[in-house]
Amino acid sequence: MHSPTVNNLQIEVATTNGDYSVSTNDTLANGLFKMGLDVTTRRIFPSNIKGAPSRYIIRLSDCSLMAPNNRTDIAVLLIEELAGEVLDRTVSGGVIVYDSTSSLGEKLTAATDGRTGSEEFYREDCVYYPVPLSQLAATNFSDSRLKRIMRNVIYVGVLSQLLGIKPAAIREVFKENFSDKGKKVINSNFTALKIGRNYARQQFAPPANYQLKEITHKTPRYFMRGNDATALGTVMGGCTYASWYPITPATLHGENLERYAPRYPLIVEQGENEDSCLGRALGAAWAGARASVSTSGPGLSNMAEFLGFSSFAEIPVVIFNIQRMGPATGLPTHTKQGDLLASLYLSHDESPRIILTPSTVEQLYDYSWKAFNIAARSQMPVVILSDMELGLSFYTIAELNYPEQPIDPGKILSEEELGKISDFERYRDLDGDGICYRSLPGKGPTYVTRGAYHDREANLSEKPADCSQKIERLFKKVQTAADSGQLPSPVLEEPDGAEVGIIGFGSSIYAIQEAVGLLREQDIQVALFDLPAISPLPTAELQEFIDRYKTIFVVEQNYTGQLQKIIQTEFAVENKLQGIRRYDGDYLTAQYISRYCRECLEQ
Amino acid sequence: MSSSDQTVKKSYTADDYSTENTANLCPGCGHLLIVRALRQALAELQIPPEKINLIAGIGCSGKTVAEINSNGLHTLHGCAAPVAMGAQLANPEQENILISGDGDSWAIGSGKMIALLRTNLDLLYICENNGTYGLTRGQLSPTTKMDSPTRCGTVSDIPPVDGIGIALVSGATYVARGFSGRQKLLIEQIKAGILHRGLAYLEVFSPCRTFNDHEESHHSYRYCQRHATDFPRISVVDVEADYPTDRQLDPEFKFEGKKTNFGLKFDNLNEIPGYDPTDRNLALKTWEDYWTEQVIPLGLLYIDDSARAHHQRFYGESDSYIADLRPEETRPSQSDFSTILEQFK
Repeated sequence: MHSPTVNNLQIEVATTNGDYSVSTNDTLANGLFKMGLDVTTRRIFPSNIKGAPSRYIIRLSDCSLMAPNNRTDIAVLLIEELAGEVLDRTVSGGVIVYDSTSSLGEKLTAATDGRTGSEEFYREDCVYYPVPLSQLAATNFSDSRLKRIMRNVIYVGVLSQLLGIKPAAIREVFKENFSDKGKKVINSNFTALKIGRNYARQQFAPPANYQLKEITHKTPRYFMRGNDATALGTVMGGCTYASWYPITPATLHGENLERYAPRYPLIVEQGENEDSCLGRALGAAWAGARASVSTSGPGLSNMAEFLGFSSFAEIPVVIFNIQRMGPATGLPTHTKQGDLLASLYLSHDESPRIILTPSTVEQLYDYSWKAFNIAARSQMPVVILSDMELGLSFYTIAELNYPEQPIDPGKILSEEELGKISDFERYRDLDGDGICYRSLPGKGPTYVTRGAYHDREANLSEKPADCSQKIERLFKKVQTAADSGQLPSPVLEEPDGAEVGIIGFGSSIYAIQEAVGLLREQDIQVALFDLPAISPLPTAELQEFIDRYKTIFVVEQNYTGQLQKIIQTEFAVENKLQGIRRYDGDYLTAQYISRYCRECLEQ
Repeated sequence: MSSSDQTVKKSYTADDYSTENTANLCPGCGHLLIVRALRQALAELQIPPEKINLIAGIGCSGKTVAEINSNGLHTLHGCAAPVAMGAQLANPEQENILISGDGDSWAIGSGKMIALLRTNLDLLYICENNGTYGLTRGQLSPTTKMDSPTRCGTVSDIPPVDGIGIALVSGATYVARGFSGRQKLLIEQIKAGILHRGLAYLEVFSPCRTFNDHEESHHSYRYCQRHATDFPRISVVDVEADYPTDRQLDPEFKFEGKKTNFGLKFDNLNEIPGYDPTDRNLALKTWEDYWTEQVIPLGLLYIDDSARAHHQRFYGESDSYIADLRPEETRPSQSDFSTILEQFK
């Protein structure tokens, strides 16, 4: 055996959803984070509340990799349906912990004993750790619900002992999570953790090939999900009104805001449907609030008419779209990046909007608070395109900064300023940048804001000149935003000797970053362009990037190559672009990207 | 566009609420009579035009927003309710009036309207009911009566939507029925609806001269005049501090509206024996009887002036509203930010 790998492994738990294991696994992941390790999680679960096969991945990396791996080191098997596929993914020398007091457990024990009939569950190159999880829980806890929960905590105890996860770190998470539930709950969890640790210590020798070592960091680090970051960005962006309708996977963003609302000047309401949510936000924004909505694909479709209204009536709003697999109902709990074109063109006729595509948790936070300034300044809807993978996965991230830009209310004239003006016109482009001065209801002159064409004074108009000027001015605002310095810049990584470039956005970036490393190990140098927005595109930087490399791979999680289409519409690319696409609802991995790149380059 | 010098003006007349614009409605349109009543009501209450938010849906009703000097917001078809909800919550100091029609409210907008009615949001919701789709030239509306043909001869064979009934069961705390042809009552109904602290649903029969004012229509001037019947009729009056508060005993009572010096006076409560407009069950039963008889009762059906207005759920008794915040006040401080981040460590 080689020297053990340190702080570099993937744990995969195969279970049924609704068995309380998600919160236990979150706790395990958080405990690993508290040891100073780089941790990320993924949930693979069906759109169902209880009883269907479900997996939870915890990846630890010694070099800050935040994408899921396609190889598992430590498997925890609690149900038979997933045993085969998890074992297939388990590496040679991997660790398999299972509940020996379950029907699957009996088969696995039979298999490890060399008995016939269960060979499919036997991997002679892995180490099996049978633990009577259900029985230990049943013996030590009386309440039936508690028995099910504590079975999970006991396997956390077993892993803690086998891998050297500090029990103090896990206990700290329990204390944080259950501070409002009292000592009894916390103590039950402590007991179960100890039962697992004791059992493993008495029965097993720890695996020799895996080691975890605590790391002390000098600067703060945080463990959060994308939907935590967008909600935090919403609050820090100065949002004062938010409306949402429950929809997977955006619900967590709305629930986070509900928790912030009592402490900050923020009104949060659950609306009766998604377009009403956007309607409420626009009413609030018209009256003077900084407003937002959060949703996912079907909700975005539902918002179509109001999105156009927002753009045309020039009422600012921020729309969070946590993309999921569509169309129609699609698969609510599977990730995809299929809403680029829908976000760009949603609503009838032509209505410009800003669309930002944050890639990392840090960017989700940054772009979110910036979006409120951009919307206010541009008097336009700003769409933040996140996705299910980013939204619901935990990531280990570095310091988040207090916003460096002050709150920008945009061009709103105060009552005092308006008092000095005798010829205010709501839609006069005084500054020549397409953006006109607003007044707020009750704080200025009276006029009608409408979704119909109008003249500079806001009066209804069907005159061709008024109509063409209106639409030209609306689109001019997109260019103004591009030139404003308010929009986030692309993040470029360009190693020496690179002849190949990759353009990507959203959750793909974590996998692309890892793929770039894998290709480097094979002497293929790859440059990376992390795209911050699709409307407006960072034209100059993108053109230079495309010109600089022989081949450009566009990585995206949809079938038709929507980003590639957007780029090809804007630029002369001379057949340079090659699409790397995933659209099966599974998470993008570095291996998926690097294999495709290599194959293409070898052709 | 009017300049903001209105703020220094001492008193307003109905003309101050008119604009240079026209909604381009047909001559004789009932909606124009609602515009007239609305201007008069606003003048009698002396509400400055810039303090009024007029939020409208799409249709002939919505077009009237052009003719009222106020902060107009002409939204989407069936969608005025959520927009009004957001606007009212952001700044409850404005007088928010929602203008909608029968199609806008009870066909395309029905789900949103019910969501609004159950909130007790502090606004006046005027549903201008002409029983037809005038702006698209006279198609069936959800309130078209079963035996009343459209311009092209279509006759509805399903019962009409009962907006008043929906408002009552959905939680509106002021429910009234008016008629464009009864200006005096309509002005009082609008005033009371504005003064009411909570959601006032005022459905106004407002005949469409061009497409639905014919012999067989139940929404014609003639039909409404002939079949009008009395509900409790109200007037808004100045009241003294020691005004009687026992509504059962006295037809005039002190009304807990937004302005303390106003009260409601019932002109004819003694002619409707046993009726108590604060009893919702009685209101529902009475309305059900009227509905089946197909008469046009006019007046105030129901009022509850004790319910908490929706915005108080968020603001309590505070009058510091989100629309009034200075930009820097909308963002948590550096120390708040650090506190938030602690939970992610």
